[in-house]
Amino acid sequence: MIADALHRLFREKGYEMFPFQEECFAAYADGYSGLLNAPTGSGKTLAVFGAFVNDALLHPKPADEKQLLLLWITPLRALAKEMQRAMQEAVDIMGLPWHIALRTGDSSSSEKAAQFTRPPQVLITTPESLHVMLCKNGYTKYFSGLRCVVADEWHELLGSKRGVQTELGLSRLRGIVPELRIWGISATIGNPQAAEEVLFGTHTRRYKLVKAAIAKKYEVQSIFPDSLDVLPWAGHLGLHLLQKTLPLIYNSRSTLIFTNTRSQAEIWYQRYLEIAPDLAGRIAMHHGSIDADIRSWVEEELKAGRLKAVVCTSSLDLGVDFQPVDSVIQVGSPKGVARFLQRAGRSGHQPGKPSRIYFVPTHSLELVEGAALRTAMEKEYFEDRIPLQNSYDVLMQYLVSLAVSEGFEPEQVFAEICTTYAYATLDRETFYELIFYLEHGGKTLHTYDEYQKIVKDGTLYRVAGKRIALRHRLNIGTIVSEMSMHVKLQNGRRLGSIEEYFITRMNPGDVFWFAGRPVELVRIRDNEAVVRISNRSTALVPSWQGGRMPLSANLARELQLKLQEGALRKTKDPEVAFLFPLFERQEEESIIPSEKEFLIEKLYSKEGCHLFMFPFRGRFVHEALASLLAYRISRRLPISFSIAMNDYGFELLSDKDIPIEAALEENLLGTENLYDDIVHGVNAVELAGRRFRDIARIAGMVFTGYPGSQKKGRHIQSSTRLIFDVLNEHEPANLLIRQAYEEAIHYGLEEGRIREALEAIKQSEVKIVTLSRPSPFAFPIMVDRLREKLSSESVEERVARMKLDFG
Amino acid sequence: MWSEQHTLVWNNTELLFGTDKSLYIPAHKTLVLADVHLGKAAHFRKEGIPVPQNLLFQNLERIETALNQSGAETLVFVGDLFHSDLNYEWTFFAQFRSAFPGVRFMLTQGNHDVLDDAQYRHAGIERVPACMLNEKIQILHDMPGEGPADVLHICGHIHPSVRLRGRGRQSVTLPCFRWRGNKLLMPAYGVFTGRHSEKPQPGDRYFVPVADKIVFFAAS
Repeated sequence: MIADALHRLFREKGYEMFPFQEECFAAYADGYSGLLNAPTGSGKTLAVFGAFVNDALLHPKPADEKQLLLLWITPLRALAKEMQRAMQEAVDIMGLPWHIALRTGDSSSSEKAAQFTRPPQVLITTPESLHVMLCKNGYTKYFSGLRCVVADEWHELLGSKRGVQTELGLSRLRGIVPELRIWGISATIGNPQAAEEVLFGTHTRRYKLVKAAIAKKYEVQSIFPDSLDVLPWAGHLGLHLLQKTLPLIYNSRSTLIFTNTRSQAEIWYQRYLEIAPDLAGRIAMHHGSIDADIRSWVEEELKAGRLKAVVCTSSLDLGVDFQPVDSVIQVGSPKGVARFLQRAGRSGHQPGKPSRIYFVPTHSLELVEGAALRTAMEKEYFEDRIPLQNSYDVLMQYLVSLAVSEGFEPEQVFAEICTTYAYATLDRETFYELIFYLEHGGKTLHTYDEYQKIVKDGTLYRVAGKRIALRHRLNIGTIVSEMSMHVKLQNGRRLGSIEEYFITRMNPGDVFWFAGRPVELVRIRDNEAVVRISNRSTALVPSWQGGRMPLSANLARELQLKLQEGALRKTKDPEVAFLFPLFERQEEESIIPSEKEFLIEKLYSKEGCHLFMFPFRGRFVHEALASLLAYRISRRLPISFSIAMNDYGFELLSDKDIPIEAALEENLLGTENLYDDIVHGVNAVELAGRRFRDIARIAGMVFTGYPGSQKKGRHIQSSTRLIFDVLNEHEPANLLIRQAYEEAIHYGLEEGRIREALEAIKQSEVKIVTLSRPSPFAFPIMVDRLREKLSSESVEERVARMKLDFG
Repeated sequence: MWSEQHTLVWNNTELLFGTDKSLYIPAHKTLVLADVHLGKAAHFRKEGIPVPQNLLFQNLERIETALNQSGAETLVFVGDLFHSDLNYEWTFFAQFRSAFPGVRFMLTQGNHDVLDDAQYRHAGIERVPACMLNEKIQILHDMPGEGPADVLHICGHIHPSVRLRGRGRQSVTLPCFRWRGNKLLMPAYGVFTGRHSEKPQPGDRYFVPVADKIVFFAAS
């Protein structure tokens, strides 16, 4: 049953009511929670929002106008504003005297105060902001009238700590309102089961799954080089093909050009201006290190149709639809099918028109990925999102939040969090260990210790004072990485942020390329780099350490199938056909492994003995595998290796002969002792240290300073690296240190994938081929500049052979 | 502990670099430590950041070992002995100091040394702006300017470290002694201290403590 007012809304806005929307309305009216699977721009927001409003229209209650009824959680601040505007317009049309408000990190304190004293009926917010609300005394009463919580873009939250935050928030809200409805909206993922389990936890059994049957058409077209390089040298093809993208740009209204790294975005942007100066003023750049104001400007210009092209990174993966964009170019492998699909969906908003995406390979073998992507998209073969479990840092932050506002009773909280997927396996002992840690800061050695955070007050734990509470509130939701510095013009205008590592290598007067133009470093002060616009033409391009995405399992699998087609010379994909000469050469020198074979190539050169292996599992897994094997081999004999890897395979290089046959017989590729061997083989300390950066920040181990009071802050301010080093050495059993290693090995290195790779190899026939010269598969790995040396020599010997780094 | 392989000789006085980041000058039986930052752990804990409590004792143990192994008769702290306001770590330190009645403890004033005169007096620490080891060697916390070219200035404050690069992507940043012209920068001795690295300049010489050795690098 659909209320008249809702019909009126559809009529006035000229919307068509889709079956999946009606399904949502009905499910909600029947008392269900639910999970809607629908792509962007399909009317998904209206489906769920409409369902809620419909129910309120059909069963109005007098208290409705005085309290918060619906909480809408979204990961994106930018999208939230649009949503608030659209929802307010909708309720106005429907004649509901409702107020739709927005609360994010950008909200002013007066806005936030008003929301508390005069609650809106619908509040759109982010996971972090929800947690900030849990810090406020009176939150229980505030949420006591809540009827429904919506988790929007749930696939985005899943598998991240913000998702865990959402789960915790939901558990508390369900604690306040046991009959609370939960609705999720998610794009398609590889493991939809997880999306359900994590959203509903062990609590809600009464939910419906709704799938929007939207058939959006996609066209994937690869850009081919003029001639085929049988020895594919990674990276050098891209700029050559840039020329070929120009006609596409000129023939489209607006084009988005996606690159995989910010550096690449800067390089391509520079290059476009060089070879097509007439694009100046009509082409822009957009990535995460560019200041928010500039990014907003680019988005507005794009929406208004004033930009011909925007070179961007994943920064434009999500967000409002840009109507004028009718083509999308993807430079280099997008590393995942879902991301590729997402980006393709950014184009072609005319009804009936397909979304067109062009794929530009950065080396000839990468063309196969174009074919693999096309097929995977057709098969809807998307990546899994692996949900996180037992994130102690997020739990610690949550407990302190509760301690700040109204206090918490341990058993009650424990019962609530046990209903979440994230903490379902947390044992009571560890939970109380966490509380003890928060209360005492570790085992107390002596009575002089002045550590305090939370204290016992009767049956409750509360925060130990106003200062701790204030600091906690300030720390929640701070997203800026401490390793980055702000880049500003002399007049104070912010351009963006850059990694500290890059800037400290520079001297005043040096010129580097940033946010699309060359800037000259004037001076570095505190956490800021002051620059002026330069007109020098040669400039360094900064590198950002993030952005090295590995190939997803799905795409890797699809890739292998394409290679099979290449081997058989039977294919429907023009990309694979184009590469036949390359496959021929691979078969001349070596073989193309079938699904049941595992290829190991051996080559002797003046550099030494090369061993190539091709698991096709992505570079991170390969890095771990290479380190693992190097470690296992070097345990038997004194041998040192240099390793290199790409998404297709890895190389071990040594100046000695590598006795691979013997090593294989001694279970080189076995899964026994895997975890320990990985920890020894890779630089686990370094990886854990990197993980700890975020963990420490979330758990409140780092104080970022009171606003305006710099002096005191400097005493406290310390890099998380220092805290990690000190804890790693003196308190290795510390919960957060353990978490850092767990995350590094399990999620970072994807220990599960390493194990799976080894098991798959166990099922295959190992084929060892001795090459007389590099094969097309081996060549790109060989010439990869990113090599790492591993050896069994002592740290002093290793350091003694190093050189000073001049940057 | 103090390497005999790589040393610095200034005006006939030999300075030995310690793998524990201390400096020992045998001719003057003087042990030099920079930027110990005692009290920092307690300071953090007071603000609700749970760094381990035993860091203080780690520091004291190392100082004890250095004193015993060197047989030094003077110990000079090159500034920042204590991190900030008075806390219980000072009490422990004062107690520790009293176990070495035969050793003269001196402190060249650093920006973090803000305790009352009385505290230093009670603990038996002589606080001075700078310390002339001999005519040609001076110890002081920080000297931004040049100073007389024939005098070696031993300073702290910077917490220097140097970035090293190995074959390929391997790199490591390690605390170090940096000798540039007439200035010798000392690494921070304290267990809970940060570090700062700068681009090497031509002529810089680095003495890097690595496990049981001192490794030497020269920037050409």
